[in-house]
Amino acid sequence: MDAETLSPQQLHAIKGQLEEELEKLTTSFAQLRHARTKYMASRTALEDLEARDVLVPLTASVYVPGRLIEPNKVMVEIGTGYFVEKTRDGGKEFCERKMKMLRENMDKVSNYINQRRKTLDLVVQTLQKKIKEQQAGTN
Amino acid sequence: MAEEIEKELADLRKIQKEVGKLESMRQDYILKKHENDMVKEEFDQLQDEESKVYKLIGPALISQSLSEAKNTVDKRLEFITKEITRLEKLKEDFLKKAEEKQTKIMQLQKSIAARGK
Repeated sequence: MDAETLSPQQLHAIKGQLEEELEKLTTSFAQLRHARTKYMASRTALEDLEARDVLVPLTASVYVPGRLIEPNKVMVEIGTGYFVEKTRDGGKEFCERKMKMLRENMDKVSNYINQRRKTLDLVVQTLQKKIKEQQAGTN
Repeated sequence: MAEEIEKELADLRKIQKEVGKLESMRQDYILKKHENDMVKEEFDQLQDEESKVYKLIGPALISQSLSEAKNTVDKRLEFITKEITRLEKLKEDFLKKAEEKQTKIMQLQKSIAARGK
């Protein structure tokens, strides 16, 4: 579609639509990044998991001493309330797989964002040009 | 005549609201489908049939067999897919109704304009 052929009103409407869409895309990008950070933290936690003494929080301020007896077994949440017991390496592999998937989605979303931004720029430029032309016409 | 248009417009708005509601419901189900698809994928990747699976019920983790968990997710997916098709069909119907209303309103407006001349 050629932006030149549209009226200022139409361009304005398209501008609004694009801005709304960009807002939504930016939010999903942030959500994806947040999710990825969480998996990254889980993977890091698995990395130095070994049999040793730990303090287990009972409440935010009360801890009891404990000992990890099976550092090679972890529970992983795979979604919709389901947990699966995995080995430490299995858990790491899971986190890495999820991170890869999230990264791919982030790339997709950022591509969309760039596309929409370009279109929005074009629309705004054309809109400004048209408004100037109109003003020049009335003067 | 103007009253009639008023009434038709109100109907149209009602239909459009309904369409919006259906669409947001459909979006919810698509999200759920996605989540369940991912869980199914994870289950399918487990090589060991004896893998320990737990389900979070309230704050407690309840042990469940892998086959049972797989079954539940499959049933869920079946239900969700059915709901999505049902909602899509319903939305189509409402969109058709909205279109009919719009043509009717346009006709009414035209006949008013014709009488005004």
